[in-house]
Amino acid sequence: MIDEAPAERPQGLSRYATTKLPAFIGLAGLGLIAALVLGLPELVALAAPFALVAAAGLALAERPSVDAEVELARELTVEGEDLEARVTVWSATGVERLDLVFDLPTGIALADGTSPTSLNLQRGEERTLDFTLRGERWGGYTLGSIGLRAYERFGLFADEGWFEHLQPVKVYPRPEAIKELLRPLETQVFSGNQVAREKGEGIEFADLRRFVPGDRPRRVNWRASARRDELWVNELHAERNTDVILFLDSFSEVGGDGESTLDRAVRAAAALATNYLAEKDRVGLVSFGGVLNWLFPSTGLVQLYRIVDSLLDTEIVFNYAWKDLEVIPRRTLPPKALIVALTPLLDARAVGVLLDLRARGFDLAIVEISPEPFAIVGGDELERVAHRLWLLRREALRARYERFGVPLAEWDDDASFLSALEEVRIFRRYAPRVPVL
Amino acid sequence: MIAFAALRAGRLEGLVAGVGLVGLLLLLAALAVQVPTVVAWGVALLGAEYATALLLRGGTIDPLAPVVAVGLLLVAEFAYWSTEPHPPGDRGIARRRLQRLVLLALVAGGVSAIVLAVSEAAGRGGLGLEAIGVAAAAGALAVVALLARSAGKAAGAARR
Repeated sequence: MIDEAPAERPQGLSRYATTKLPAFIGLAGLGLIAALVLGLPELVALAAPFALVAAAGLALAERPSVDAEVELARELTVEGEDLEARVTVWSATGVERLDLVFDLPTGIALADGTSPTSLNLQRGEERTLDFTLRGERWGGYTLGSIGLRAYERFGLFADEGWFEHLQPVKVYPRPEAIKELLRPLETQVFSGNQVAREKGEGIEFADLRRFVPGDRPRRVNWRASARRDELWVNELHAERNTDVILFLDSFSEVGGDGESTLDRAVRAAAALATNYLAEKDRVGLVSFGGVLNWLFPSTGLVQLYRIVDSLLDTEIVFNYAWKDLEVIPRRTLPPKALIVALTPLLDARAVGVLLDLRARGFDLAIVEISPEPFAIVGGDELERVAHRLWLLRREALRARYERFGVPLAEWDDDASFLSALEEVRIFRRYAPRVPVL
Repeated sequence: MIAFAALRAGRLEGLVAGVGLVGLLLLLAALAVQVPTVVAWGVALLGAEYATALLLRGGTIDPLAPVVAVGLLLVAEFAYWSTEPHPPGDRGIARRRLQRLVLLALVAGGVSAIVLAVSEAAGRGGLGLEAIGVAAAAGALAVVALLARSAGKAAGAARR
């Protein structure tokens, strides 16, 4: 989600007269006219101070020459972490009172520091203000808009404007805790950390067999050979990598209290990508929604940054076009890949595509980011019945996935992502493999 | 200030105080809803109360007019100050502004007294001097208006 840059604002200060200037001129004029009409010289005395202030303000008002700059400690931060920012303001002319506001986009909060604030700047003075910002929601932002308003000493004029030295800041999603990752049913051909079902070069014991010419002596299992009076060798499981595709359903989201199903999905996807890539697996991303985004599976730190940056761009775009599996590039879904779907199961297109993936034989696991905690149940009977029906339909949908052998775990307020993953893992271990229809 | 002006009238004190009270209510409303444009009307009504008192009083020139003038100026200044935004920040800003207001009150009082003295002299000086006074008042207004116009143009050009 990229926060749009603020609308084009004129740079520098623009002068305008405050309401005080016409008021003082009006009061002075009224006093003088009343003095003439009523023949009361005291009213001239009454008008004189207002005329004096107005004339002095007009004659002595100096255009302020100020500038402001923002410096950020870094361009990357994580949700909930602090980010230091330094605002430097300087003035070539003296400014009696300078109001400063650090304009922050929604999703970035001020943790420490005062904004707006008032400053008094002497001629040629430079002032540095330190702010502590906090990324409250993952996303891409632009920071660096400073609003200034300078009052001259009589308060008849004010000069205000924006100084924008915009800098991009990325707030990475807060990672969800993961203890044990889901393992694909089949591994790929490249070496990795995953113990493959196939036998080959590795360290995990698989089986014993008779020695054949060409076997390496170090493979000989001497204890078994002594028992059988012939040479037997150990067979080992190969250690391979796996392909994991993170399937993010971005058709719709439900939210409340500053969090939505999409927020949770993005955090979970970032955590999964980090952990799988740390185990040398290839990880790809499919963001399936109003706008389709994908990343071909790859490995390494660069891929992690690619995935996280792509996640930051994820947003809900309403789209009524029917989308199915055909729109996803074929290379994005390699054979034998484990597809971990993060979905609120709200949009029929995403639901259909997941069933389609299973029907095509993909190894699919679904973590349902439950929208149920965000649903507001109405007060009357009809609304309660509608809510119950909606819950029943969701139960039926889950049962449908289970019938097709798709492990599905619900992640809601009562359960952590960790327990949802564990539930999927247990399902995959014990549930019978349903033949693909 | 309302009571002072009412007592200065010598008669119909209730009517005079009523005008002042309406001005006070306007000022309070301006401060309560933070609408600075209403402040001027409140100050104008306070001035009108004093003018009514002077009309009812008649006789010689009121020597305390500069005091009332300074009072009205301070009321206006403090009212506008109250309607401005007050973000927290340098503590010295309010102190310096207060010092400046005290200085402004002293200068304004002096100017007001001088103006009153000149007006009194003009009242005794016959029609010619009175004409000069009227011309001076009109000229002063014209100068302020011209300055305001040029400042307004400059502000408009800067904004464009």
